[in-house]
Amino acid sequence: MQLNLKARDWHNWVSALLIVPMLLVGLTTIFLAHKKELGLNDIDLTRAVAWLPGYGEMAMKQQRTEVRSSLTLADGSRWIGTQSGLYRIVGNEAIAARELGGTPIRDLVAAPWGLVVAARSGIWTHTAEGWRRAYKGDAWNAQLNPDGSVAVAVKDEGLVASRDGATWRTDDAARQALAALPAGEAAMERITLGKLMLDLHTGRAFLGKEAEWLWIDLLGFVWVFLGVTGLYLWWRSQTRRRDVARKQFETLHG
Amino acid sequence: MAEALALLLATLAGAGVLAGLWLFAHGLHARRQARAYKRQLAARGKAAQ
Repeated sequence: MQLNLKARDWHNWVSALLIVPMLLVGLTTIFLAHKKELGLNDIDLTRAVAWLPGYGEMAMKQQRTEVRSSLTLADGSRWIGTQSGLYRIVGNEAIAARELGGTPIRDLVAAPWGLVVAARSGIWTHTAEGWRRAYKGDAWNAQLNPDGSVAVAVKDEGLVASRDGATWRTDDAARQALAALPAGEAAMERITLGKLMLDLHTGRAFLGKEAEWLWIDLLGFVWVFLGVTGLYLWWRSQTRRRDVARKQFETLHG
Repeated sequence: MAEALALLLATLAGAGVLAGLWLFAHGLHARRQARAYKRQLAARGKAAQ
């Protein structure tokens, strides 16, 4: 008995059905590898993509209610930071801070000169003059120091501190002290199977954090290249079939 | 430098995807045309019989 897998037919049909997702994944891979250089997180497309099911009313409502931080001030006013914005709680009502709409809020601190918010879009301050983005970056934890200054951990920058909310400086002493740790004393990052899988996927396990973009770009381009060349071969076969059929038609009925 | 490289790579990938979509749309069109010619040939063949 001869087994006929019809591999070519399967290959063609699966490719034809998944070609658009394939191209989309290849394209978005390249963009994600250079997200920072291209400043993708500063381009607001909220309204333009509202029609996508993942950003529909229900999905957005779930994000709004996912609490990440909270703070109660001395005057009794209460603030709640969520995955998609900051809210002031007045009675049973949540009033959104318009300037931080849609931004994940990681931490909140009450400084002597105002409220400090660590958000994905940076360090924000709220004083009598209103809201202001004091520092651009991906901010995480914030804390009030005994001297009244505030220190915020910012991704790729380290600690950033301010005494007045107007000027923010990186804490170079802390960065240098951490960098000067002998290899044996520096705590090793814990590598779990989950982390290893992620790092094999992104290429970090082979090339390190700094050069993983090479791996990501290479795989993204392979995806786009195979998609485009496959489409070209398919397009060529379809146009040839059409030309043959047209010729037959014209010969018989021309 | 890094920004220019990123922009170049993103543009190349974007151009590739646009070219792919163009091939997809025109391939589908050619496929429909080929079927239409074959249908007409078959219909006229039957009528001639």
